[in-house]
Amino acid sequence: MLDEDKLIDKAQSGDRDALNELIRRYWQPVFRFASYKTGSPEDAQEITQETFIRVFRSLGNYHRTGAKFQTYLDQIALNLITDLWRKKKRSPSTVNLAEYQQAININDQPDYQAISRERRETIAMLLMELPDDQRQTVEYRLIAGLPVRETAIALGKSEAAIKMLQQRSLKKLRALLLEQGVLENYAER
Amino acid sequence: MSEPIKATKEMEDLSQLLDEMNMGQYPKSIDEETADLLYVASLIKKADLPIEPPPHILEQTVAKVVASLPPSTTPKNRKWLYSSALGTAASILLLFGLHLMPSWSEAPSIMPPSPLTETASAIQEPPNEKQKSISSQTAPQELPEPAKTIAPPSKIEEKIPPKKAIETTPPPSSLNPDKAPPIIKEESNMIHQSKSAHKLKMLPLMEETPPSPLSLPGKVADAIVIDEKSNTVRQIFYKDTPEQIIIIQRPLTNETTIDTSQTFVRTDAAQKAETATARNKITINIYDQEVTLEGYQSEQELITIGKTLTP
Repeated sequence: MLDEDKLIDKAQSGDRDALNELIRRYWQPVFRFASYKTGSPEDAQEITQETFIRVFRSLGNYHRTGAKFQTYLDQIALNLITDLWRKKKRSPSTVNLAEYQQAININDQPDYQAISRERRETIAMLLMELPDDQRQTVEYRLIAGLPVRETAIALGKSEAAIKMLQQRSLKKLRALLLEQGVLENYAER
Repeated sequence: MSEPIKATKEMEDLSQLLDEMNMGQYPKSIDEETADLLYVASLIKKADLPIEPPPHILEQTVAKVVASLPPSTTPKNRKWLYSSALGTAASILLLFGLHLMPSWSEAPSIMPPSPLTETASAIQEPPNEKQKSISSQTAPQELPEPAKTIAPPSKIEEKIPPKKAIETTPPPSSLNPDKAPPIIKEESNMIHQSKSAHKLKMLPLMEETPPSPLSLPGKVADAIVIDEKSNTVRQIFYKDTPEQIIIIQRPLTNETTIDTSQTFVRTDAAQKAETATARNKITINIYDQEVTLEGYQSEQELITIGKTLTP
């Protein structure tokens, strides 16, 4: 993690490249966490941005805690989500971070890990067989969890086109998974 | 329901279900085909493949983070800060350096006569008028370069024969006007013309005037330099011989108003000329003056010579 520490130091001093790299690395888990807890892609996006703003503004505190950068990010995101709920007068007012991490990180569960690597590699490989626009749609809509509108902006397409692309890509992937035998094997479990 | 409408509805439903899945909700009752697609979607989601954020979101986030950072921590500002600090330090060093330079009056030197000095000295004026005259003649275009004005002593004699030297100060009572050496009016403003012109306008405010040249019994100085700015008189006897002796007079109370910045270049050049000719140097106080003698003679000899000086 020495590289990451260097990146963090650079980012703290305003190095744009370092900021880019760190946000690129951690945007996905933070956004997914925020989406999971808020239930709103718009709120999740706002919280993700605010999380990075607060993190880089208070990196001195991060150095003092000695925590992992991911944990520090999650904690700040969690505080923001709690604040959001208080503002909207929604319950619960507190979030259990451990519960979230357990729910999200299915791959960490022992009985899941055995098939995880093989399945991940297969899915990654099959994704590469999709046409670019279909693959990117899957990445943004399913892996990143972006709403249709954001995906459409990212790919420069209409929302209707994105909806069509996601349906086609899922049908194509299902066919590929069946060919590879991955779908049957996983369904049997 | 027609086929196109049905297909559109399926796409819309699937999209909505995917949104729900992204928010952690899993639908329970859906048709088989949609359930199959959702299952594939869930497999992909659980694969947890790493992806980067879309470019527009990344740029937006980075821009907001950069804008929120304290301005003093950005590299640009640091560079500016460092260069400012260096500049300030350099300025301070330069300022100290200039103030520590030897002053003009401590090391006056012989200036070869130039057409300007000859013209200036040709006009007989009372002391206050002389100052005005000098200041008025310091137009930049008329002034020679300092390095060029310092010539070997022998050339001074060649250019200005003693008989033709023009006297600008009232002759001392002890001096025979016929045998009087050339008196060169020293213009200490020959280096930085415009700046010195301004300074010279202030000179009439000074109360002190250069002392009258002392003389060695039976000897006539080969060259006399009077620096009215620093109130010093400088004479050279036995010029260009092993017996050469330089006598510098200044009033004992003369410690004031020396413009070091003005005399810096001149002093440096003059000192080089002096070190080539003077080996020993003594200073004595006689006739309310500080008199410095420089020459190849021993210090004792110089003291003896100094005691023979007469006003």
